[in-house]
Amino acid sequence: MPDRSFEHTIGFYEVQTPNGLVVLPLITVTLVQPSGTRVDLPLMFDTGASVTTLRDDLYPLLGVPSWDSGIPLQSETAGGVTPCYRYDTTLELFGKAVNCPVHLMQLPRNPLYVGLFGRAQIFDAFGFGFWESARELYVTLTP
Amino acid sequence: MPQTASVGGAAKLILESVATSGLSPEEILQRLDSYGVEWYLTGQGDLLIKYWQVGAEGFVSPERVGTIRMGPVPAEGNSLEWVSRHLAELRQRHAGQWVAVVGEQVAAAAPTLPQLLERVGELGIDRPFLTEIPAGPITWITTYARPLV
Repeated sequence: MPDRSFEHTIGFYEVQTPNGLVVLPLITVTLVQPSGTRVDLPLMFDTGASVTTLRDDLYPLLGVPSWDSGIPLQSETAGGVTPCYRYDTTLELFGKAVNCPVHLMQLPRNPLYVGLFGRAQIFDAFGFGFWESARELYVTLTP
Repeated sequence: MPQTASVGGAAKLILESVATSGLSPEEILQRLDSYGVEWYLTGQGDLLIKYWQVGAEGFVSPERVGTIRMGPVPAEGNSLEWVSRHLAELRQRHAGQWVAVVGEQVAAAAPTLPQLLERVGELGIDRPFLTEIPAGPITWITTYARPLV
């Protein structure tokens, strides 16, 4: 069995909703704005997400004039094909800065996450371990 | 320098060893306390210690060691944790607003993100935690949008 040591453990968040208990793998990521100032954003960790996807109305953080001013792309969602726009930004996690692509897309509003944390570039910088039943994420800075 | 010892046939790494010869009796007893070792001084001045160690290899998976050693994520300084615990209260006070949270309090709030960023700049807030508190129903499960190639 492969063995790896993880320095960080991220617990899932349990939220009581009108429809019952929901367990969410949430992670706080620091976004470095073009001005150099930093803001922390809560994202949902999604192993199926190839690119980190942020809510469309976060475009001011990327220093762009509107959410749809980037490279136009299309995404497949449960509700059908949805437009999204690609940008490049810098995200920091556990003190490591990663230059990576992000997509802006119209996502449902949720107070505990403003986007989905994706794999592109970021999985090269970190090692992630996840066992669904453990309800924890394991992160190493030395993958 | 780390040493190894053979216990039960397997080599064990000794992480710390203490030479007691240079320590006063009080210092030695302090060390024993710090290691959680129970001790007793007899009326004649003899030191008795009650100590045993039972090893159970593979007691938990290596991935769980960090969690158990560190305990739960501390609430202090974790804005996401704080927001998740105070969601009902935040929905009452800031529904429909963007909020900048620092530690365990809302440092600024505004109807839009650009307005909030302006306020954050005015207040000189460093690295705020940003989120929106929706006024309407919340969607809790989001399926990932897979880019079409």
